[in-house]
Parts: sequence; C-alpha cells; structure tokens
Amino acid sequence: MKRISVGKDFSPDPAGRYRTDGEGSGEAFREDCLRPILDTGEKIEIVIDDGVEGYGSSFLVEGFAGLVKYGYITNEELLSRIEILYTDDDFEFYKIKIIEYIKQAKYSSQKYIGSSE
Amino acid sequence: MSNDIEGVPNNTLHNDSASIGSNVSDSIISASSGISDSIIGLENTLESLLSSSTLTSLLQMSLVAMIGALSAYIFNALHWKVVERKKIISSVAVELRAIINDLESISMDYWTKDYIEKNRQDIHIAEIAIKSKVRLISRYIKLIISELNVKKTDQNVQKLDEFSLNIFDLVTGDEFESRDRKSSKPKAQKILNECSDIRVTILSIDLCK
Repeated sequence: MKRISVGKDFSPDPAGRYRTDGEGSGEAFREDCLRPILDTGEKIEIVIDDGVEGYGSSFLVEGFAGLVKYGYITNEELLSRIEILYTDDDFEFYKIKIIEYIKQAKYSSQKYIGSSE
Repeated sequence: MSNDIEGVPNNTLHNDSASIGSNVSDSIISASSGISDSIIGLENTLESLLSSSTLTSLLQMSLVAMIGALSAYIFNALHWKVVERKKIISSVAVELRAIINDLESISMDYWTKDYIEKNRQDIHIAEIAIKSKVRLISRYIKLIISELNVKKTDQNVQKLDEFSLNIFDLVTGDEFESRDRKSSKPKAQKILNECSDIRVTILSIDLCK
C-alpha cells in the first residue's frame, strides 16, 4: 500500500486541467503521480487535505476520472485500488466528488495526447 | 410463720401482709389495665391519623405541586432549546445567503471574461476566492441541514445538497483555472439561475423553521 499526499508530494496549489494551464495541473497529477503507482498494481492511499486549501472540479475530473477516460483502468478497479483520506471534514465533499467523477467516466472514451505535445 | 417482728403478733402480720399484697396486686392490675387502655387508645389515634382524609389530601396536593413544577421546568428547557435552534438556523441562513451572493458576483465576472495574461494576478485571486466560497457553502449547507433536524428526503434538504454539488461543477468545471479559458455567457446565466433558486429555498427554510 502506497500513500501519497497531494499537498506534500505533488503541489500545495493543485489547479487547472492540463499541463499548459500551469504547475499542479490535473494532467500532471494523473500522469506523474497516480499512473506510475497504479502500474505497479499497488493500492494507493491519497491524502487530499494535507497542505491543500481546496480543489476545482477541472483538476479533480482530469486528475482522477482521466485515468478511466484514457483507458488506463476501469471505473470499478480504480475505486477498489484507491482510498481517499482526509482529517478536515470540509474535504468529505471533495471525496464525494472524486468518487462521483470516477463513476461517471466512460472507460477508454478518449485517446490521450499530452497537452504539452 | 416462725419469724415474728418484735411486739407484733404473727397472725396480725400475716393478715396485714396479705392485705398489703392484695392491695399491691390490685394496684398492679389496675395500672396494667390503665396502660393497656392507653395503648389501645394510642393505637386507635394513630390508625385514625393515617387513614384520615386530611393527611391524604395534603400528600396529594404536594405531589401535584411537585409534578407541576417539574413539568414547567421541562417545558421551559425544551422551549429555549427550540428558540436557540431557530436562532442558529436563521444566523446560518443569513451567512449562507451572503456567501452565495459573493460567489455569484465573483463567478459572473470570471465567466463573462476571457483569460487574459495581463490580468493573471486578478484572475488568480478570483479563482482562490471562488474555491474558498464553494468550500464555505458546502460547510454551511451541512450545518443548516444538521440543525433542521429533518429527514434526508425532505425537499429543501435535497435542494440544498444538490445545489452544493452542482454549483461546484458549474463554477469550477470546464476551463476553470485554464489559460485557454473563454468567456461563457450561458455558464454565467446558469450560475445566476442556480444562485437565485437556492436563495428562495433558503428563505423558505428561514421562514418556516
């Protein structure tokens, strides 16, 4: 089981959808943080509130649901492999949204082309 | 009787002893009888006291008074609890409306303009404010729902929940925080409509609490 903290291991200001939007994008989080761990077959604990003040929907959709959208993993398998952790009650909302986005994503519905390419 | 008291004939002593003994016995018997009568009298008095309607009424009245006082205390405590809860709901409703007004204003301005690099600083501030307001809205809605103390299927509760989830997607979805963001009047209109609708719901909650 691997644990990552969005705020400490990725960016204290996760923002935007694509790499072209700046540092801390959903695309960078997905490709640089989540995907390498998922490829190892390990389960991941993701701490979403340590050092982060809030999220936008654009980041969460691209960062999490993008894994399903680009065909890396199915909805069910992704939900079984990740555990969203937080201590601040406000972040329960973001956990609900992440799960919602993953469930709504259509598996392999889009081919991934990096935004910086 | 062989032991005579000097000067006193024996048979006289015997007769006197017998009469003294007889007198003492009579006295004892008489006293016992008196004590017995007194005890019986006391028993009767106690019995009559215990069964008297006066004492019973007094006890009953005392009990009724105590129950009345306790009921008044409980009612008063419950009443103030309800008053406090209504105050909290009202305060939270006022705060929530204010935050929604702010979010509406900032996001209308944000989504009716393209991203322009020279305005990057102001745009970044607006994005921070939007994310903060959305987070606060979620917190206040959770608070007001917990104070309403109604079922989750309650229509107003469902509307509040849905607003919280939908406004997040509406305001921070699509090209939010993107350098390629274009203005979107339809999105701005939707934000305005959502905020207006929920203000009515919050008002009805405040009035009907």
